[in-house]
Amino acid sequence: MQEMDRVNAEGAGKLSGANLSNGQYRAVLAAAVALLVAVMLAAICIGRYGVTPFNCVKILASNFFDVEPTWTKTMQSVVMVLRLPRVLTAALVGAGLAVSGAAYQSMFKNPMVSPDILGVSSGASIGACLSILLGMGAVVTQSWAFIGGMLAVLITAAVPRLMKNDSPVLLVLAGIITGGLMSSVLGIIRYLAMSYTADETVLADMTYWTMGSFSKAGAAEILSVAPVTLVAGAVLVLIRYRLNVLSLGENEAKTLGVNVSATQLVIILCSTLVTASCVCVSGTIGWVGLVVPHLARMVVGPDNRKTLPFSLVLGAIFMVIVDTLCRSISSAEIPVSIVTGLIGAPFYFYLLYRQRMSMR
Amino acid sequence: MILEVKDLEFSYSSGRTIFEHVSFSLDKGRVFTILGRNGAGKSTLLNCLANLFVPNGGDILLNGVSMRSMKQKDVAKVIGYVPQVHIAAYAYTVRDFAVMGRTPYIGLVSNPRREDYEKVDKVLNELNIYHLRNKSYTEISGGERQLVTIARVMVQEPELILLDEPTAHLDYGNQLRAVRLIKRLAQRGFGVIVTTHDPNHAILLQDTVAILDRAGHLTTGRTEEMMTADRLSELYDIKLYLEYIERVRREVCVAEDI
Repeated sequence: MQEMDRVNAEGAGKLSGANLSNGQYRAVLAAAVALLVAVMLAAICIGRYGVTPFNCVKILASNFFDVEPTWTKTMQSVVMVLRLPRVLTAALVGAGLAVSGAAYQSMFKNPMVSPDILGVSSGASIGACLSILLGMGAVVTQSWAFIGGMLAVLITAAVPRLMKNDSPVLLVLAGIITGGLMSSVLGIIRYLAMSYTADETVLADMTYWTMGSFSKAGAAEILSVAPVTLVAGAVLVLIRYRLNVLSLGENEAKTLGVNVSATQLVIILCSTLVTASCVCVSGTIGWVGLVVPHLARMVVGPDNRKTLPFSLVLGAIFMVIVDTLCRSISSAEIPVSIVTGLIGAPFYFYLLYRQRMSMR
Repeated sequence: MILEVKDLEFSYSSGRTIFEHVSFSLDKGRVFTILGRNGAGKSTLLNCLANLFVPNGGDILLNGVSMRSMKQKDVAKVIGYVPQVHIAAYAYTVRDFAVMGRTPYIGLVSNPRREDYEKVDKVLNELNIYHLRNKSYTEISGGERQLVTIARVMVQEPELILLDEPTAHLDYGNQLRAVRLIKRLAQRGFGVIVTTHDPNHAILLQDTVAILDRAGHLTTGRTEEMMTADRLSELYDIKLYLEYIERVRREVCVAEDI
C-alpha cells in the first residue's frame, strides 16, 4: 500500500507543476469569475426562446434601476422566471458540489473521493425521495436529505477504521459498498412507490431526479436551498487552511495542534449539508465533485487557500455550461448526469493516466 | 524540566502490555536516544509522548502540567513530532509544507502570515535547503523530504522534538548527517527524543541512552554506562563488541563475524 501511495504522490507531483504566486492566482481567479459571469449571461440568452445579450442585461438591470423597456413581456418572464433561477441554481449546485468534493478530498487525504463516490449523494437522495413521497415540504426534505447523506458518509468512513487500514483504495471501496447499498434502497423505495402510487408524474420525477436535472429549479427552490448551501459553503471556505493541515493525515495534523475530530466533524457536517442541499434541488449529479477539484489543482496548485475558491468558481462555470447543453441540444431535456459523465469520465481517465496512479 | 514521564504504561485492548513502569525526565538541550528491538514499543512510547496514543497508566507532565489536561494546540507548542515517513497525498511546495508547522499559532479561520513565511525561509536557509523552497514536496529526494519535515518542526518552535527513527529511510551519508542535525537541534536548545536501530548513533549523540527491553521496561543512563558490549549483545541477541578506534577516538559497535 505504501508503494502505491508513493506512486500516487509522485504522480500528484507531476500533475501540479502549477504553484502560482499570489499575484498570478488573483489574476487567474479574477479571470475565472469574469468567465463565470459571461457564461451565466450567455446561458440566460440561449434557449428555444432567444434573448439578445443586450436585452438580457437591460432586463436584469431593470430590477434595480429605471431602464427604458425595449423588450417584450415574454422576454421579461423568460429571463426572470425561467432562466435566471435555473442558471443561478446550476451555478450554486456546481459550486457546492465542487467545494464539498475538494473538502472531502483534503479531509480524507484522498484525491479519489467525492460526494458521489463516498455515497453521500445517493444517501441524500434516499432521504429526499422518502420525504417527497410522503409529501413533505422543502425544509423537511432538506433535513432528510442531510440525514441520509450523513448516514452514508459515516458508514463509508467507518469501514477503513473498522479494518484499521487507511489506504486510499479501501475508502473508495467502502464508498462503492455504501453507494451500492444506497442505490438498492432507492430501488426498493421506487418499487414500493410504484405499487402504491398511481401518480405517474411522481414516478417519472423520481427517475429523472436520480440522474440529475435543473428543470424544476425556480425561484422558490433556489431560495429554499441557497441559505444552507451558502452558510455551510462559507464555513468550508473560511477554515480552508485547516484542510491543508488535515490533508497531511490525522496524526500529523494532531501533532501540529489541530483538534482533529472536531475539525473533521465540522468539515463533514458542512460538506454533507452542501451536498444534501444540492441533491434536494437537482437530484444526484455525478463527477463534478470529483473532477473539478482536480482541474482546479492543475491550474492553481494543491494549496486549499487557492484550490477551494477556484474550485467553487470552476464548478459553477462547468455546471452552467452543462445545464445549458442539457436543455438546448435536443428538444427533450437530457439528464445532467449523462453529460457530466460524458465529460467527466474521460477527463478522469486522462488524470489517472497522467498521474500514473497505480491501483494494485 | 520540560518533560517528566511518570510510571507510564501502555497495553493494547487485547491485553498485551507494550511497556510499563516507564519513568524518565528530559531538560532542554538534551538528547534522549531510545534503543530497542523491532516491535519493542519504541514508536508506541513516542506516540504516547506525542499525545497520539492515550497511555493506560501513569502521567506525562509538560513543564509540570499533565498532558491529559492540555489542549492539543498547547501540547503542540511544547512538543513537535517528526514522523518516520510522511506519505504525501498532495504536492504542496516545500515552503507551504513547512509553514504548516506554524498551525498551533494560527487561528481557526486565519492563514499563515508573512512573519510565518519569514520564519520558514530562515530555517530553510539554516538547513541549506532554501533553494528547494518552491519545489513540490513530492519532487524532492527522501533525504530532502526529511529535512523539510525537520524544518516544519523547527518553525513549530516546540521545546521538545520527537523523531521516530529519523535515519530509517536514509542512505549512509544522510543517516550520519541526520545524527549531526539532531546534535545541532539540541545545541540550539531543543530537547530531543530520538529512536534508532543503530547503537553507533547513540554513541555519536553522547547524552542519555534508554533501552526498551522485551519485557517493556525502560532502562536509562549516560551513554558510557549504558553502551556495553554485554548489554547490547543481550538486547539484539547477537554477539556484539564495542571497540575503541584510535582514529575517531570513540568506541564503535561492531558485530562478530557472521
